[in-house]
This record gives sequence, C-alpha cells and structure tokens, in this order.
Amino acid sequence: MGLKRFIIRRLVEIAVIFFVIMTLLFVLFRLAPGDPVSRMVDPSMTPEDARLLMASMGLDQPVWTQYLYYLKNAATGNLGVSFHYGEPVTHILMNRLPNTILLFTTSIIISALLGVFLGKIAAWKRGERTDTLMTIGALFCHTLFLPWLALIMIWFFAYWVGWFPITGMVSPEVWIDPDAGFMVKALDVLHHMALPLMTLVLIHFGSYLLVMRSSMLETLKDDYIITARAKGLDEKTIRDHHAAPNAALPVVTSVGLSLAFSINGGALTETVFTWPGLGRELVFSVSHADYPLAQASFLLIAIVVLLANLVVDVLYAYLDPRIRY
Amino acid sequence: MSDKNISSPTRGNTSCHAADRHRSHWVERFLDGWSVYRKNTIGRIGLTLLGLFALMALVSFIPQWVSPIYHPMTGVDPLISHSTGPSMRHWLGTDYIGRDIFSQLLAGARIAFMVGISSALISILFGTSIGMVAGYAGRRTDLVLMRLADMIMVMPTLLVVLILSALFGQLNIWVIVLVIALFRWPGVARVIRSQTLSLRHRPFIEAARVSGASHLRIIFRHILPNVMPLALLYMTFRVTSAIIIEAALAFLGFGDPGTVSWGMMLQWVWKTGHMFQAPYWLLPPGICISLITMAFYMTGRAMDDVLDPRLRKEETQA
Amino acid sequence: MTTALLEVDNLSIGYRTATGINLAVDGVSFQVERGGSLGLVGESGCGKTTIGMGLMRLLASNARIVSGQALFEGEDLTTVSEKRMRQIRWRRISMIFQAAMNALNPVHRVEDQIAEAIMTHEPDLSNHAVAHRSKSLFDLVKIPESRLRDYPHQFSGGMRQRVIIAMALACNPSLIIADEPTTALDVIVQNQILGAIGTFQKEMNIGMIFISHDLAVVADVCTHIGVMHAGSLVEYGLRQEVLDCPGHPYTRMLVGSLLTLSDEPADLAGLVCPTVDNGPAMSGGCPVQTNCPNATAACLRGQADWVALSRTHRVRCKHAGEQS
Repeated sequence: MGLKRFIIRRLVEIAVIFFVIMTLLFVLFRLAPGDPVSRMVDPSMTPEDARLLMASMGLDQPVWTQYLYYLKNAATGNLGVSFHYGEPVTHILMNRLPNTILLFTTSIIISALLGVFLGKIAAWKRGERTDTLMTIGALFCHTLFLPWLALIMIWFFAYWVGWFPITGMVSPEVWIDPDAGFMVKALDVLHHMALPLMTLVLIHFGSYLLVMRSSMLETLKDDYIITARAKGLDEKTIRDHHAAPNAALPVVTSVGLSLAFSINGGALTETVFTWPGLGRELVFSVSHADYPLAQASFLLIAIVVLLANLVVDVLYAYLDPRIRY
Repeated sequence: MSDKNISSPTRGNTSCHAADRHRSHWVERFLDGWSVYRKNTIGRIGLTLLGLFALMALVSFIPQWVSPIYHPMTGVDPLISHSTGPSMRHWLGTDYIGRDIFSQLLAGARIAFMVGISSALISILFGTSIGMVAGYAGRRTDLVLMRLADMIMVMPTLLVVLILSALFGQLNIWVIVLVIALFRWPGVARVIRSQTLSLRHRPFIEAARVSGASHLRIIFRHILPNVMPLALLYMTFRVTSAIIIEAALAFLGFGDPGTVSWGMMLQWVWKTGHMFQAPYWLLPPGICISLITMAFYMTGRAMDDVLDPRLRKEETQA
Repeated sequence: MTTALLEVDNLSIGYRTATGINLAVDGVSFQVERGGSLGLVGESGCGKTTIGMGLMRLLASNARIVSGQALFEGEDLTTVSEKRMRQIRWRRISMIFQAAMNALNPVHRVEDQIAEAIMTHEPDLSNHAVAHRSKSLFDLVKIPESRLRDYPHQFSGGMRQRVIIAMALACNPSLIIADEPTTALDVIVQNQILGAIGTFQKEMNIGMIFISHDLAVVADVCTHIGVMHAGSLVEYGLRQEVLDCPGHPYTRMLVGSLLTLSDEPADLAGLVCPTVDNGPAMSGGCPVQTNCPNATAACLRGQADWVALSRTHRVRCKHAGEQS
C-alpha cells in the first residue's frame, strides 16, 4: 500500500517537472532569435500544407493560445512534422524509442551488476593486489572520454579485428530475407549491439565499482556483521548474504543520480555507432535545424530519464525494507 | 583576526573562539592537509599530471610564435595539403588541411583548463551560496531550492546545451561555460546544504546568533569557512564534468568554431573519415581528455581522503 | 572437584598501535559454572567487551590474544582452529548484543535470521522443524508468532532485544555472553529484559557472562561479580560478598554509588573521576593509584597480588583487609 502511494506521489511529481520542462521549452522556442513559426513549419512546404499545419498548431493565434495548443497537442502526441523526414515526429520517435530503451537499460543493468560484483570482491580483498588493480582499472575506465573510446572500439574490434559491424543496428540483408527467423534477427541485433554496449559498460561500471567498494567497506564495520560472525557463519555467507545486499543500496542510489550522465553517454554512443535511437535523433535534428524533431526528442528523452528515475526509486524501495514498510 | 576578537566584548565566549581559531589558522590547516595529501599516491599522480597539462597550456603560445604555419587554427603548412604522419617538421603529424596536430594539442590544453576551471568556479559559486542559504534558512526556502536542484539534476546537461545551440546557433565558448555551470550546481548545493544543516546547531553558530550577528554575517563569517574545503573538493569534480561536456559538444560539432579544443580535434578526425588511417591524429586528443579528467578526478579523491578524518585514521591503522 | 564450564586463565588481549601493543585486557582469570552467571562490571573502556569478543574470537583485526587460555568444555578457545571456532560460535556459545547496536540485519526478515543460525549448526533439520523452533522461541520471549515475518526496523527497542534473546537461545547453547544487553533501554523495558534473561539462564541451565557498566543491573541477575578496572580484574567473588564487603576501593565506590538511592550519600570525595587513560597505568603501579584515597608509596611500585578475603572472594589491592 505504501509503495503504491509512493509511486503515485512520484508520478505526480514527474508530471509537474515535465510540465515545467515543456513550458521552458515553449518559452525558449519563442525567445530564440528568428521567426518562431519558421521553427515549427518546414519552409519548403507548399503554402497550402503550411497553413493547415499552422492552424493545427495554433501558430496563427496569439502566444497564449499557442501555448494552450502546444500543451494540448503534446498531450495528444502531435508535436509537429519533421522537416527532414516529412513525417509526424511522434511517429519517428516512437520508432526510435524501443532501440534507445534496449541499449540504455541493458547497459545500465550490466554495468551496475558488474560494478556490484567486482566492488564486493575489491572491498573483500581490501589492500591486496586484486583490490588495487580493480580500483585503478575502475578509475581508468570511468575517466575515459566516451566518444573517443567508442571510436577506438570501432577502430579495433570492427575495423582491425573485424569481429563486429562498424555501425548500425541491423544488417538489411538479414531483415529482408523472408526465411530469417526471430532468433536470426535477434542475433543480428545483438551482434550490432555488442560494441555500443561494451563501450557504455566500460564507461559506467567503474563508478559503480568504486561506490560499491566503499559502501561495502562501511557495511563490513556494521554491527550485524559481527552478529553474523558470532552466529558461526562462514565468510562467504557473511559477504554475500549479509554485507552485499546492504552495501548495494547506495549503488542503486548512484545509478539513479547518474541517469542524466548515462543518457548523455547514450546519445554520444548512439551517434558514433549510428544506433537509431532518440539520442542520435536529437543530435541529428539539431545539426540539421529540424526543430520539431529536436523539441520532441528532447521531451521524450526527458520523460525517459524521469521514468527511469522512478524505476530506480521503486527498485530501491523493493530492496530496502525500511523504505518499503 | 585575533585583535578583532579582543576588541569585541560579545565574543568572549569560548565557542566563538573555536570558530575563529578554525578560520584564522586556515594556513596551518592547509599545510596539515598538504602533509597528509603528499602521502597519497593517487593524489601525487593526479597533481603531477595536472602540472604537465598546465605546462602544455603555458607553452601553447610558442609554436605559432616560432612560425605562423604552427598556428593551431589558421596555420596551414604550404607544403602539405592533407593529413600526414609524424615527422621532424610536425611532431604529431598534420590534420586534413595540413595544420600541425601538436600545436593543436597544446592549444587544447589551454581551452580545457579555461573551460573546466571557469565553469567549475561559477557552478561552485552558485552551488555553495544556494546550498548555504537553503541549509541555513530551512523551511520553505530550503524546499523550493532543493526541488529546483532536483529538477535540474535530472536534466542531461549535454542535451540541454544541444537544444540551446539548435535554437541560438553556434554558441560562444563562454556561453557554453556559463550554461554548463548553470546546470551543474545542484550536486554541490546538496552537499553544502547538508553540511550547513549539521553546522547550524553547533554551539559557535548558536553563540554568534545569540550575540546578535546578522544572518549574512553568520553565513559568510561562520558557515562559509567551514564548508569551503568541501566546496573546493567538489570543484575538482565539476572541472572534470565541464571539460567532458565541452569536449563532447565539440565532438558532436557544436563547439565554438573559433577555438581548437581536443573535442574539436576528435570531431575533425571522425567527420573527415581519417579515424582508420590516422592513429597519430585519433589517439592524442582522446588520451589528453581522458588523462586530464583522470588527473582532476584523482586529485579530488585524494582531497576527499584528506578531508575525511575517518578514512585517514583507517589508512594509518592498516 | 567439579570442572567449570569456562575457565579463563591469565587472559591478556592487546591492540596493535603505532607505539606497540597496548593491553586492553591484562591477565584476567575467572570461571563460569554450568548454569552460573558472572557479571563483569567496569567503566566503558575497561576491557570488558574485549573479553567477550576475545572469547568468541571476534576481535577487531588490529587486536589479538597475547597470552593466557580459556578452557571451554575442555577446549582452549584461544587456540582451536578457525573452523572449529565457527562450530562453537552460537551452537555452544552465543551472544546477546548491546541494545544500542543494530545487531539484526535490516534487509532480512527476523525469521530468516533466526532460521539461519539454526540451519548453519543443524543442517539436517527439516525446514518445518526449523520453522517450528523459531515459533517456539518467539513464544518463549513472548512475541506473537505473526511477527516472525517482520523486519527488524518494525520492532521497538525492547522487542528487538527480545528477538536477539530468542536468536541467542536458538541453538540451545551452554554459554551466553550478554554485552550490555539493556543499556539503551528505558528502565521498565530494561527490567523486563533482565527478568527474561535471568529466567532462561536459570531454567535452561545456561552459563552466562553478563557484561555491564551498571553494578545494579549485574547485582540483579548474577551469582558472581567480577569488577574490572583499566584492563584488569580487581575484585572477584560471590554477589553477596562483593556487595556486602567490597574489598577494593574502586568496588567500594561502585557499591557506594549504588546505595545512594536508599542510604545517605556515599562519600566519593576521594574518588572523583577514575581515569582510564593508559598512560600512568602502563608506567607501573596500581592502575587506581591516582584516584585512590588509600594510595601509599607501595601502590606506586606495582600492581598488587590477589588477596583472598574468603574461599570465593579475592581482591587485588595492597590495602585489602585494612579498614578505610
């Protein structure tokens, strides 16, 4: 019950934050130099089409009415037509959304799990060589410049060794082939996903490792660890069953806090690997002055980050009974 | 500082003395911290690296002074019109239009320091003041400021700057610095706030309040000196994130076109399709960005150890 | 002659410091009979908790047993292998932790934490039998069975302490080390918990070492009392003997402060604030000398030997038996 109320409260908060972001975007689009209409209506459209589109977005009305139109349209998923694709932006972005979610969630889950696992071992072997190597390795990976790492990965694994495709998400020939089954297609996507995924995990696991390590060191000093020892449990049980679940809680918090950072990295990775996701679409639309697409992809990314935050919060509550009850 | 102490009769309280001692001996505290810091290997490596980069930034003016062909932006070698590998004439080779990569690398160090430090200073300034005000004022002010901080914290800074450059065109480097700073203060503010909260009910603050000190005076004379070390620590981390965001922005092609930054260099090697052919061009800027980030990060972590007496005790015991 | 359950002989435990080994427990000897209970009293920092942890071999990494032995059911706890020690822990010797500690893991249900103790030591037991035992343990400490599925933070301080007692009894141990089990609790709850501990200890014939800074609490539940000061045991005897005719000036002070409620105020002028800093004590001489009203030149020359006041009552003071 408590959890349900918690989620509802957070959803309301998210709605408010989202509303504020939308309003800020609206204001920014009007503040920017130049004609606001030209930013929502493709200059190369026929006058007839342009008029229709303007009417549907209220662009021929006063600013306040425009704002109301904007909110109403956003609620119904009408965020304009992309200059570049000539299609409704919602349509394009709904296509991209699953790709981003796939890459984003897998990379976060893998790096968090890897960080927790390695951080646990590093803390357990505190001061030994394993610990030193892991800490330095984590620090090193964590501070690598992501786009550069991505380029190096492509250079080495795709160009030099040739294990993985250089860019993209699918090989067209596989998807055109009518005989290709689901497994073949899934494997194809996985094959394309390997490099971007490795890049993201390499960048992210380090900070989780460091958080887990220091949190584990703190936890090992906790009273219930003495209880566990006094109970005659063996060291492995104490580490995995008593210390680690408590020590992993701050890692969950840190995943939540670094979500914004992760989505930055996601956008960069998508761009370098031409992974057809939201982040790449945002970068693309900004460099092609495709304003409706830029606005909508930014809004959608904001929603993704906010909802991901909620998921992390719920996960935390699930893992920590003190929050749950 | 001590003569002031004597002249003011209301400050005879011992806890007031404690607060003053805290402040007037900051040189001693610094030396104390330094002696601990010096023993920290990670910190030493970090500082050495930073020294090297600072040196790079300092000598970045020399190449173009030697010959205009070494100017990082406009210095095109008349003999070369495409990317060439390292040679005596160009130590790290040249880029696609024959500009010297080594002098670009040196210039990049200057931009990195400029962007990192100025942006960090601004965000620390914002973060520290907002954090102190929120922690000290409490109630409504605290709630509003922290909600604002939460909201900004979930915003991916890089993408925000992207949207801004979509709307306002190519952004000037100082605008980029400012925007990064404006979006990176919430983390600092949160930490400073909780530190302020823990200070607020310490005896020396209460004593200052009882003796009639104004709120501003309490914040600036009593709380600020105590949160200062923490703010400085966070500055090193903010420098890191500012450098990374600027580099990423430049890499995506939205940097200040009037500057040569490492991110810009990577953008050129990537966009001109040289990444498979020109490792001499691809490797140096990436290594530099990664190393300078690591250097600031290491410095920060070592400072963290110095500031956290609990950790220090542990180190000496082990 | 009956052999005692636990026989601690000349036990010394030291902490490694920058300047060498600092003895926190210095040559302590005592016995605990089967079903008997010994109260160890002393101010915080005097080494009583270190004794408890030392017997369980759970000392901090920078502490170690320097010398002495602790015979428990025929085995020397200071030398048995780590593997054997793990078997002894909880099965033979269990602990009741300080009430102020979070001795229970916050992310596991209390039922699982109790069951874990049982299953570790009796792996052959069926799940059903383990659940049944957990239930009866909760009955014993008078907590409704329904709360077995709760998490530690859902219990009040006193209840949590009952859970810990239930857990301590889970494997039917022959010795319990209770370390300040009631210190952070309010007086009424403290009395209930003390009552519970005393009852189980007697009914189940368990030996107990009860560690406390509070002589009144110890006097309530223990058959024997040992008084500790700055790492050494300074007085040891049957409860009545120690309370009625304390031989050591420090004990006299403790007993004196105990009686202030009913009697006229004890004269504590001479013994204002016993210090525990190890400086002067290490330099030789009786550790109490600086605060002791009876201190003479002899006290400076080294710690006194044991003086037997009766067959069961001994004191470590050069002036024991003299009247002050």
